Amino acid sequence: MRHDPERDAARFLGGAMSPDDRAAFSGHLLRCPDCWSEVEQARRGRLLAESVRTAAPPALRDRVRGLVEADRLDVDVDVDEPARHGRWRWLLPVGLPVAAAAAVALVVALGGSGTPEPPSLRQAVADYSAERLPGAQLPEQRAPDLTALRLQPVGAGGGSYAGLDVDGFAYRDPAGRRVVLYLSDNAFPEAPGAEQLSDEDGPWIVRRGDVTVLCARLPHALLVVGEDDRLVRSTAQALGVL
Amino acid sequence: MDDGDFLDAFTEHLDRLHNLARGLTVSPQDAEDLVSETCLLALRGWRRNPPDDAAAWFATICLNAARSSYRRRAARPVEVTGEDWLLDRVDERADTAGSALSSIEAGRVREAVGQLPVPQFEAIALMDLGGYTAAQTAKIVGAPRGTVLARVHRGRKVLARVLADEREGDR
Repeated sequence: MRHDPERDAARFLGGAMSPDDRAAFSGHLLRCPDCWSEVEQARRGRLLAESVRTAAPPALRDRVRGLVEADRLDVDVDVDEPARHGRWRWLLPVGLPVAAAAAVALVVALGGSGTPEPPSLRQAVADYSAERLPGAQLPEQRAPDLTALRLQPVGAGGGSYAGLDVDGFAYRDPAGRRVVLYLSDNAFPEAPGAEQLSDEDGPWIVRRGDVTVLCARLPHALLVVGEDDRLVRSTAQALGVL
Repeated sequence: MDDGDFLDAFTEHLDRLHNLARGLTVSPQDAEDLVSETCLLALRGWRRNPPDDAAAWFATICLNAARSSYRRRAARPVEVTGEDWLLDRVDERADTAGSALSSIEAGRVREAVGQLPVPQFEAIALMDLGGYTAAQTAKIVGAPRGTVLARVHRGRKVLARVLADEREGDR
Protein backbone atom coordinates (compact mmCIF):
# COMPACT_ATOMS: atom_id res chain seq x y z
CA MET A 1 0.00 0.00 0.00
CA ARG A 2 1.21 3.52 -0.83
CA HIS A 3 2.73 5.47 2.04
CA ASP A 4 0.18 8.09 3.09
CA PRO A 5 0.95 9.47 6.56
CA GLU A 6 -2.34 11.35 6.96
CA ARG A 7 -4.54 8.45 5.90
CA ASP A 8 -2.58 5.91 7.91
CA ALA A 9 -2.51 8.06 11.03
CA ALA A 10 -6.27 8.66 10.77
CA ARG A 11 -6.94 4.93 10.43
CA PHE A 12 -4.51 4.12 13.24
CA LEU A 13 -6.08 6.59 15.68
CA GLY A 14 -9.60 5.72 14.53
CA GLY A 15 -9.12 2.03 15.26
CA ALA A 16 -9.72 1.17 11.63
CA MET A 17 -6.62 -1.03 11.20
CA SER A 18 -6.48 -4.78 11.55
CA PRO A 19 -4.34 -6.03 14.47
CA ASP A 20 -1.53 -6.96 12.06
CA ASP A 21 -1.60 -3.59 10.28
CA ARG A 22 -1.73 -1.82 13.60
CA ALA A 23 1.33 -3.65 14.88
CA ALA A 24 3.20 -2.94 11.67
CA PHE A 25 2.25 0.74 11.72
CA SER A 26 3.29 1.07 15.36
CA GLY A 27 6.76 -0.08 14.40
CA HIS A 28 6.79 2.16 11.36
CA LEU A 29 5.90 5.18 13.49
CA LEU A 30 9.21 4.98 15.33
CA ARG A 31 11.11 5.29 12.08
CA CYS A 32 8.95 7.73 10.12
CA PRO A 33 8.95 11.39 11.26
CA ASP A 34 6.03 12.27 8.96
CA CYS A 35 3.76 9.59 10.38
CA TRP A 36 4.92 10.35 13.91
CA SER A 37 4.07 14.02 13.43
CA GLU A 38 0.62 13.15 12.01
CA VAL A 39 -0.23 10.97 14.99
CA GLU A 40 1.23 13.37 17.51
CA GLN A 41 -0.66 16.41 16.21
CA ALA A 42 -3.95 14.60 15.90
CA ARG A 43 -3.64 13.15 19.39
CA ARG A 44 -2.98 16.61 20.77
CA GLY A 45 -5.96 18.03 18.89
CA ARG A 46 -8.22 15.26 20.18
CA LEU A 47 -7.15 15.87 23.77
CA LEU A 48 -7.77 19.57 23.38
CA ALA A 49 -11.26 19.03 21.98
CA GLU A 50 -12.15 16.40 24.58
CA SER A 51 -10.96 18.65 27.39
CA VAL A 52 -13.95 20.97 27.01
CA ARG A 53 -16.55 18.28 27.62
CA THR A 54 -18.83 19.01 30.57
CA ALA A 55 -21.82 17.45 32.27
CA ALA A 56 -25.24 18.78 31.30
CA PRO A 57 -26.45 21.45 33.73
CA PRO A 58 -29.03 20.21 36.26
CA ALA A 59 -31.44 22.86 35.00
CA LEU A 60 -31.34 21.27 31.55
CA ARG A 61 -32.36 17.92 33.03
CA ASP A 62 -35.30 19.63 34.73
CA ARG A 63 -36.18 21.36 31.50
CA VAL A 64 -36.18 18.08 29.57
CA ARG A 65 -38.44 16.46 32.15
CA GLY A 66 -40.77 19.45 32.01
CA LEU A 67 -40.91 19.30 28.22
CA VAL A 68 -41.82 15.63 28.16
CA GLU A 69 -44.47 16.15 30.80
CA ALA A 70 -45.88 19.23 29.09
CA ASP A 71 -46.04 17.40 25.78
CA ARG A 72 -47.75 14.45 27.43
CA LEU A 73 -50.36 16.84 28.81
CA ASP A 74 -50.71 18.25 25.29
CA VAL A 75 -49.67 21.71 26.40
CA ASP A 76 -48.85 23.79 23.35
CA VAL A 77 -45.07 23.76 23.09
CA ASP A 78 -43.46 25.75 20.33
CA VAL A 79 -40.48 23.94 18.83
CA ASP A 80 -40.03 26.22 15.86
CA GLU A 81 -38.76 29.21 17.77
CA PRO A 82 -36.54 27.80 20.45
CA ALA A 83 -34.36 30.84 20.82
CA ARG A 84 -37.25 33.15 21.58
CA HIS A 85 -39.27 30.88 23.80
CA GLY A 86 -36.73 28.33 24.80
CA ARG A 87 -35.92 29.79 28.16
CA TRP A 88 -39.45 29.24 29.27
CA ARG A 89 -40.60 26.12 27.56
CA TRP A 90 -39.45 23.85 30.35
CA LEU A 91 -41.34 25.96 32.81
CA LEU A 92 -44.72 25.33 31.27
CA PRO A 93 -47.15 23.63 33.66
CA VAL A 94 -45.74 20.48 35.13
CA GLY A 95 -48.31 19.75 37.82
CA LEU A 96 -51.52 17.87 37.23
CA PRO A 97 -54.67 19.86 37.95
CA VAL A 98 -56.49 18.29 40.85
CA ALA A 99 -60.04 19.43 40.73
CA ALA A 100 -60.99 17.98 44.06
CA ALA A 101 -58.18 19.78 45.86
CA ALA A 102 -59.15 22.98 44.15
CA ALA A 103 -62.71 22.62 45.30
CA VAL A 104 -61.61 22.10 48.89
CA ALA A 105 -59.33 25.09 48.64
CA LEU A 106 -62.15 27.24 47.35
CA VAL A 107 -64.24 26.43 50.38
CA VAL A 108 -61.35 27.05 52.74
CA ALA A 109 -60.51 30.27 50.97
CA LEU A 110 -63.76 31.91 51.94
CA GLY A 111 -61.86 32.98 54.99
CA GLY A 112 -64.59 32.69 57.54
CA SER A 113 -64.86 36.40 58.16
CA GLY A 114 -68.18 36.86 56.44
CA THR A 115 -66.62 39.22 53.93
CA PRO A 116 -66.31 37.71 50.45
CA GLU A 117 -62.80 36.74 49.52
CA PRO A 118 -61.45 38.66 46.50
CA PRO A 119 -61.73 36.30 43.51
CA SER A 120 -58.08 36.74 42.52
CA LEU A 121 -56.87 35.67 45.95
CA ARG A 122 -59.34 32.79 46.08
CA GLN A 123 -58.11 31.61 42.71
CA ALA A 124 -54.46 31.86 43.73
CA VAL A 125 -55.03 29.74 46.84
CA ALA A 126 -57.12 27.23 44.91
CA ASP A 127 -54.49 26.89 42.23
CA TYR A 128 -51.75 26.51 44.82
CA SER A 129 -53.68 23.70 46.50
CA ALA A 130 -54.35 22.02 43.16
CA GLU A 131 -50.72 22.37 42.12
CA ARG A 132 -51.95 24.33 39.15
CA LEU A 133 -50.53 27.46 37.56
CA PRO A 134 -52.54 30.48 36.42
CA GLY A 135 -52.27 29.36 32.79
CA ALA A 136 -49.99 28.11 30.06
CA GLN A 137 -48.86 31.47 28.72
CA LEU A 138 -45.19 32.30 28.75
CA PRO A 139 -44.45 34.55 31.71
CA GLU A 140 -43.41 38.12 31.09
CA GLN A 141 -40.29 37.79 33.19
CA ARG A 142 -37.79 35.25 34.38
CA ALA A 143 -38.40 33.27 37.52
CA PRO A 144 -36.89 35.16 40.47
CA ASP A 145 -33.78 33.47 41.79
CA LEU A 146 -34.51 31.83 45.13
CA THR A 147 -31.59 29.43 45.21
CA ALA A 148 -30.37 31.13 48.39
CA LEU A 149 -33.35 29.42 50.05
CA ARG A 150 -32.63 26.21 48.13
CA LEU A 151 -35.87 26.73 46.21
CA GLN A 152 -35.71 25.47 42.65
CA PRO A 153 -38.27 26.49 40.01
CA VAL A 154 -40.48 23.58 38.99
CA GLY A 155 -43.09 25.32 36.87
CA ALA A 156 -44.29 28.64 35.55
CA GLY A 157 -47.17 29.93 33.51
CA GLY A 158 -49.21 33.05 32.98
CA GLY A 159 -52.96 33.57 32.98
CA SER A 160 -55.71 35.75 34.37
CA TYR A 161 -57.31 35.87 37.82
CA ALA A 162 -60.53 37.84 37.81
CA GLY A 163 -59.24 40.20 35.17
CA LEU A 164 -55.74 40.52 36.66
CA ASP A 165 -52.96 39.30 34.43
CA VAL A 166 -50.87 37.04 36.65
CA ASP A 167 -47.64 35.10 36.18
CA GLY A 168 -47.17 32.15 38.50
CA PHE A 169 -43.78 30.67 39.46
CA ALA A 170 -43.75 27.41 41.38
CA TYR A 171 -40.75 26.37 43.47
CA ARG A 172 -39.88 23.39 45.59
CA ASP A 173 -37.06 22.89 48.09
CA PRO A 174 -35.14 19.64 48.72
CA ALA A 175 -37.55 18.79 51.56
CA GLY A 176 -40.44 18.98 49.11
CA ARG A 177 -41.91 22.20 50.51
CA ARG A 178 -43.67 24.29 47.89
CA VAL A 179 -43.88 28.01 47.37
CA VAL A 180 -45.66 29.76 44.53
CA LEU A 181 -45.14 33.38 43.55
CA TYR A 182 -47.86 35.26 41.72
CA LEU A 183 -46.75 38.48 40.05
CA SER A 184 -49.00 41.06 38.46
CA ASP A 185 -48.75 44.57 37.12
CA ASN A 186 -51.76 45.50 39.22
CA ALA A 187 -52.19 45.27 42.96
CA PHE A 188 -53.95 42.29 44.50
CA PRO A 189 -56.96 43.27 46.63
CA GLU A 190 -56.50 42.84 50.35
CA ALA A 191 -57.90 39.70 51.97
CA PRO A 192 -60.45 40.04 54.76
CA GLY A 193 -58.80 39.61 58.14
CA ALA A 194 -55.29 40.16 56.81
CA GLU A 195 -52.57 41.23 59.24
CA GLN A 196 -50.63 44.30 58.19
CA LEU A 197 -46.89 43.71 58.44
CA SER A 198 -45.88 47.37 58.25
CA ASP A 199 -47.70 50.53 57.25
CA GLU A 200 -51.06 50.71 55.56
CA ASP A 201 -49.71 50.27 52.04
CA GLY A 202 -47.15 47.69 53.09
CA PRO A 203 -47.30 43.92 52.89
CA TRP A 204 -50.00 41.89 54.60
CA ILE A 205 -50.31 38.24 55.50
CA VAL A 206 -53.24 35.91 55.98
CA ARG A 207 -53.79 32.22 56.63
CA ARG A 208 -56.33 30.30 54.56
CA GLY A 209 -56.70 26.75 55.80
CA ASP A 210 -53.25 25.20 55.54
CA VAL A 211 -51.98 27.93 53.28
CA THR A 212 -50.23 31.19 54.10
CA VAL A 213 -50.60 34.09 51.70
CA LEU A 214 -48.26 37.04 51.91
CA CYS A 215 -48.98 39.99 49.66
CA ALA A 216 -46.70 42.88 48.78
CA ARG A 217 -47.70 45.91 46.78
CA LEU A 218 -44.31 47.54 46.28
CA PRO A 219 -42.11 47.46 44.35
CA HIS A 220 -44.19 44.74 42.63
CA ALA A 221 -47.66 43.37 43.12
CA LEU A 222 -46.75 40.00 44.50
CA LEU A 223 -48.35 37.09 46.30
CA VAL A 224 -46.21 34.50 48.04
CA VAL A 225 -48.22 31.37 48.78
CA GLY A 226 -47.09 28.29 50.68
CA GLU A 227 -47.99 25.91 53.45
CA ASP A 228 -44.88 26.67 55.51
CA ASP A 229 -45.41 30.05 57.09
CA ARG A 230 -41.71 30.60 57.82
CA LEU A 231 -40.71 29.69 54.28
CA VAL A 232 -43.27 32.11 52.89
CA ARG A 233 -41.87 34.91 55.04
CA SER A 234 -38.28 33.97 54.17
CA THR A 235 -39.18 34.04 50.50
CA ALA A 236 -40.66 37.52 50.84
CA GLN A 237 -37.52 38.65 52.64
CA ALA A 238 -35.32 37.17 49.94
CA LEU A 239 -37.32 39.08 47.37
CA GLY A 240 -36.85 42.29 49.32
CA VAL A 241 -40.51 42.98 49.94
CA LEU A 242 -40.50 42.31 53.69
CA MET B 1 -42.05 1.92 25.01
CA ASP B 2 -43.76 4.89 26.63
CA ASP B 3 -42.75 8.44 27.51
CA GLY B 4 -41.02 7.17 30.64
CA ASP B 5 -38.79 4.93 28.54
CA PHE B 6 -38.07 7.89 26.30
CA LEU B 7 -37.17 10.09 29.24
CA ASP B 8 -34.84 7.40 30.62
CA ALA B 9 -33.13 7.02 27.25
CA PHE B 10 -32.86 10.74 26.62
CA THR B 11 -31.48 11.58 30.05
CA GLU B 12 -29.01 8.70 29.77
CA HIS B 13 -27.54 10.42 26.70
CA LEU B 14 -28.08 13.97 27.90
CA ASP B 15 -24.44 14.73 28.73
CA ARG B 16 -23.30 13.66 25.27
CA LEU B 17 -26.12 15.53 23.58
CA HIS B 18 -25.37 18.63 25.59
CA ASN B 19 -21.69 18.50 24.63
CA LEU B 20 -22.64 17.96 21.01
CA ALA B 21 -25.10 20.84 21.12
CA ARG B 22 -22.57 23.03 22.87
CA GLY B 23 -20.17 22.33 20.02
CA LEU B 24 -22.79 23.06 17.37
CA THR B 25 -24.03 26.35 18.79
CA VAL B 26 -22.73 29.71 19.85
CA SER B 27 -23.84 30.11 23.44
CA PRO B 28 -24.78 27.91 26.41
CA GLN B 29 -28.38 29.10 26.08
CA ASP B 30 -28.47 28.18 22.39
CA ALA B 31 -27.13 24.75 23.29
CA GLU B 32 -29.87 24.19 25.85
CA ASP B 33 -32.48 25.34 23.36
CA LEU B 34 -31.08 22.94 20.79
CA VAL B 35 -31.20 20.03 23.24
CA SER B 36 -34.78 20.97 24.11
CA GLU B 37 -35.76 21.11 20.47
CA THR B 38 -34.08 17.74 19.95
CA CYS B 39 -35.99 16.34 22.91
CA LEU B 40 -39.38 17.34 21.54
CA LEU B 41 -38.66 16.17 18.01
CA ALA B 42 -37.29 12.88 19.30
CA LEU B 43 -40.19 12.36 21.68
CA ARG B 44 -42.72 12.63 18.89
CA GLY B 45 -40.69 10.31 16.68
CA TRP B 46 -40.21 7.87 19.55
CA ARG B 47 -43.96 7.55 20.03
CA ARG B 48 -44.30 6.52 16.38
CA ASN B 49 -41.29 4.23 16.18
CA PRO B 50 -38.59 3.88 18.85
CA PRO B 51 -35.10 3.59 17.34
CA ASP B 52 -32.64 0.71 17.67
CA ASP B 53 -29.66 2.95 18.39
CA ALA B 54 -31.07 5.75 20.52
CA ALA B 55 -27.69 7.48 20.98
CA ALA B 56 -27.06 7.89 17.25
CA TRP B 57 -30.70 8.71 16.59
CA PHE B 58 -30.79 11.54 19.14
CA ALA B 59 -27.52 12.89 17.75
CA THR B 60 -28.87 12.78 14.20
CA ILE B 61 -31.91 14.81 15.23
CA CYS B 62 -29.70 17.24 17.13
CA LEU B 63 -27.35 17.69 14.18
CA ASN B 64 -30.20 18.19 11.71
CA ALA B 65 -31.85 20.72 14.00
CA ALA B 66 -28.55 22.56 14.36
CA ARG B 67 -28.03 22.55 10.60
CA SER B 68 -31.47 24.04 10.10
CA SER B 69 -30.68 26.65 12.67
CA TYR B 70 -27.36 27.71 11.25
CA ARG B 71 -28.72 27.64 7.76
CA ARG B 72 -31.40 30.02 8.97
CA ARG B 73 -28.76 32.26 10.38
CA ALA B 74 -26.65 31.85 7.26
CA ALA B 75 -23.57 31.47 9.38
CA ARG B 76 -21.87 28.83 11.41
CA PRO B 77 -21.18 29.52 15.04
CA VAL B 78 -17.78 31.01 15.62
CA GLU B 79 -18.41 33.32 18.52
CA VAL B 80 -17.36 32.16 21.94
CA THR B 81 -18.92 33.68 25.00
CA GLY B 82 -17.67 30.87 27.11
CA GLU B 83 -18.40 31.96 30.66
CA ASP B 84 -19.64 28.54 31.61
CA TRP B 85 -16.44 27.01 30.39
CA LEU B 86 -14.56 29.15 32.81
CA LEU B 87 -16.42 27.41 35.58
CA ASP B 88 -17.31 23.92 34.45
CA ARG B 89 -14.68 22.55 32.19
CA VAL B 90 -12.83 19.37 32.90
CA ASP B 91 -9.16 20.14 33.22
CA GLU B 92 -7.76 17.08 34.93
CA ARG B 93 -6.80 15.55 31.60
CA ALA B 94 -3.29 16.74 30.86
CA ASP B 95 -2.31 17.37 27.26
CA THR B 96 0.75 15.84 25.68
CA ALA B 97 2.90 18.68 26.88
CA GLY B 98 1.87 17.73 30.38
CA SER B 99 0.18 21.01 31.18
CA ALA B 100 -3.45 21.42 32.10
CA LEU B 101 -5.48 23.75 29.94
CA SER B 102 -6.42 27.04 31.44
CA SER B 103 -10.04 28.09 31.30
CA ILE B 104 -9.19 30.76 28.78
CA GLU B 105 -7.62 28.10 26.57
CA ALA B 106 -10.82 26.08 26.77
CA GLY B 107 -12.63 29.05 25.29
CA ARG B 108 -10.04 29.20 22.55
CA VAL B 109 -10.49 25.51 21.84
CA ARG B 110 -14.17 26.06 21.29
CA GLU B 111 -13.49 29.05 19.11
CA ALA B 112 -11.01 27.06 17.05
CA VAL B 113 -13.50 24.21 16.65
CA GLY B 114 -16.09 26.72 15.45
CA GLN B 115 -13.77 28.00 12.77
CA LEU B 116 -13.12 24.64 11.14
CA PRO B 117 -14.75 23.79 7.82
CA VAL B 118 -18.25 22.42 8.39
CA PRO B 119 -17.51 18.71 7.76
CA GLN B 120 -14.52 18.79 10.14
CA PHE B 121 -16.35 20.90 12.66
CA GLU B 122 -19.28 18.45 12.74
CA ALA B 123 -16.98 15.43 12.95
CA ILE B 124 -15.10 16.96 15.91
CA ALA B 125 -18.37 17.96 17.60
CA LEU B 126 -19.71 14.42 17.27
CA MET B 127 -16.62 12.37 18.04
CA ASP B 128 -14.54 14.47 20.41
CA LEU B 129 -17.21 16.57 22.11
CA GLY B 130 -20.16 14.16 21.93
CA GLY B 131 -18.08 11.01 22.29
CA TYR B 132 -19.77 9.16 19.42
CA THR B 133 -17.78 6.42 17.72
CA ALA B 134 -16.54 6.72 14.17
CA ALA B 135 -19.16 4.21 13.08
CA GLN B 136 -21.95 6.16 14.78
CA THR B 137 -20.65 9.42 13.39
CA ALA B 138 -20.52 7.95 9.88
CA LYS B 139 -24.14 6.90 10.25
CA ILE B 140 -25.18 10.27 11.67
CA VAL B 141 -23.58 12.41 8.96
CA GLY B 142 -24.23 9.90 6.19
CA ALA B 143 -20.62 9.56 5.09
CA PRO B 144 -18.27 6.55 4.86
CA ARG B 145 -16.31 5.78 8.01
CA GLY B 146 -13.00 6.47 6.29
CA THR B 147 -14.22 9.90 5.25
CA VAL B 148 -15.27 10.68 8.80
CA LEU B 149 -11.89 9.56 10.14
CA ALA B 150 -10.12 11.79 7.63
CA ARG B 151 -12.32 14.77 8.56
CA VAL B 152 -11.82 14.39 12.27
CA HIS B 153 -8.11 13.81 11.79
CA ARG B 154 -7.68 17.00 9.78
CA GLY B 155 -9.78 18.95 12.23
CA ARG B 156 -7.72 17.73 15.18
CA LYS B 157 -4.50 18.69 13.44
CA VAL B 158 -5.80 22.20 12.80
CA LEU B 159 -6.84 22.53 16.43
CA ALA B 160 -3.44 21.42 17.66
CA ARG B 161 -1.66 23.76 15.28
CA VAL B 162 -3.83 26.81 15.95
CA LEU B 163 -3.59 26.45 19.68
CA ALA B 164 0.13 25.75 19.61
CA ASP B 165 0.60 28.92 17.55
CA GLU B 166 -1.48 30.89 20.05
CA ARG B 167 0.63 29.61 22.92
CA GLU B 168 3.73 30.64 21.05
CA GLY B 169 2.20 34.05 20.41
CA ASP B 170 1.36 34.48 24.09
CA ARG B 171 4.98 34.01 25.12
